[in-house]
Amino acid sequence: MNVEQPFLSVRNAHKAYGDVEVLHGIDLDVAQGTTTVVLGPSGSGKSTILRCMALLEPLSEGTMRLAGELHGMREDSKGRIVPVEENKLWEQRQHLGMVFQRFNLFPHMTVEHNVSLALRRTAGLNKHEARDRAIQQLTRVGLGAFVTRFPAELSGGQQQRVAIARALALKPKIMFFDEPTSALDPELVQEVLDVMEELAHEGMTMVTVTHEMSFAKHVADEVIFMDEGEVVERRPPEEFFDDPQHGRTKKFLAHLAK
Amino acid sequence: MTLDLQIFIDALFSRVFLEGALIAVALAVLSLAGAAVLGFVMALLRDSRIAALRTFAAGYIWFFRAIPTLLQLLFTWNALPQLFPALRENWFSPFLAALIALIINESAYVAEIVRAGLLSIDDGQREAGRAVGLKPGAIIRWILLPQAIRVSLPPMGNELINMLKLTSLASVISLQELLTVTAQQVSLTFAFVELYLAAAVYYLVIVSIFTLIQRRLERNYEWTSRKVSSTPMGAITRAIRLPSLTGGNK
Repeated sequence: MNVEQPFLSVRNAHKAYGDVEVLHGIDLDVAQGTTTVVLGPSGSGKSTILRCMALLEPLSEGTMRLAGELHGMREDSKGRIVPVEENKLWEQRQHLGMVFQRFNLFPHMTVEHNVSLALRRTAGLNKHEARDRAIQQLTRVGLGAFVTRFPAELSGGQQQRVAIARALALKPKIMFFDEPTSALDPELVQEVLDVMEELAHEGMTMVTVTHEMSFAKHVADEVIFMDEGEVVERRPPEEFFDDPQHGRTKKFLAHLAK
Repeated sequence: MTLDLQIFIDALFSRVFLEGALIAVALAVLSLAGAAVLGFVMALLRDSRIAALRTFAAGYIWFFRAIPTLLQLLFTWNALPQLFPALRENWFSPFLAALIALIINESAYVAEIVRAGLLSIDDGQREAGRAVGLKPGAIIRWILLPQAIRVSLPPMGNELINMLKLTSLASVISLQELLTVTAQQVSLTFAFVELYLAAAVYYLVIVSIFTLIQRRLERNYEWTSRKVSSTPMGAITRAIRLPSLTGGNK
């Protein structure tokens, strides 16, 4: 792939709920193998754009492409670009990884079953293949000893690592993290960030909405700052933190420093 | 006080009482099983994205909850054969008529129980299923259904006990269930106290067994790795291919 050509590109993304528009034309590029951190005050639309990119919500307007192909969209018979219907989106979603703020593990399944469910029911692996891959991914996030446990028996940090393993098991082309550590007790945040940092070093393409500034500073290749449904700044982290250009960025950073 | 213990014991162990009880249990269990399936479908339709389906399910629930069960029984047994000559054949038995009427009636109530169960499931569950690429049907089967069942089990226990008692209404369509045979025996012997007591004992025993089964089922839905999965109900649950959610993975 040409380095100049972005892996994921979003153009003129608008999102409205009824009459309220929350995204006002977002342009966003993610290069393959990079980590992008999206920052912004609450209500800035950062989670919304992430959820749209993860194909959990359709855009109201705009286009998205992943590896050159239309992403969550298709051309209809008249050549217009329209969203893919909900009951057909699963096909594209199985190549994406999504990690939620509140883990969203399936409480009625063992940890292993949480990870292997989609492998069996969508990816078409048999029971043993799915189990092997689940255990492999759980070992990767340091939870090889917990495969027979149920989610309620794990700490928040462990649950989030299971959720990461669940996303990884599908061998995603790109991973999205929606405030992955915001629901965790402070002492459990680092174990999740460590796993994410390792993924970044392994070359996973990642887009993360987070409030963890140290992660943004040390792991991100690019920082995107959003405010009021727009991208305000998009720069490498050292420039972003040391030399913010926009007033809104400065205000946001000053607020964090307090 | 006159209580003839012999009449009581004879009635308790008599063939007609036993058969009446078995018919009542079979009707109650089969009706609820049928109503569970139909009610689950209605619950899904009730919150469907398609407006026509939502309206249909809402109308169905409204209609069959409003009409008295007794009227539905009488209608199914007496009126349906007038409308559909095929139902005048011998195979359309009182048991079958009662089963159809009770399934349809009860499914309207079960739909609301299951709907409450579905509503209790966090949106994040459905979302996580979508995020890993599960198809809509797979999300229902593997994520929503097991969690809805757990929430629905206690009220469904209530419904099963209710169903057992509703089976006695089928006496009006000459089904030989427990209370019908009791009344018949009473009209022969006038041993009110003994025979009513015998019937009461049957109901007590049956409800006790129902309660026990409910407790076992609930234990199967505890979702921890501590408990043993080799309980008899665990085996039954797996055998009838309900989702096996017990500790073992095999």
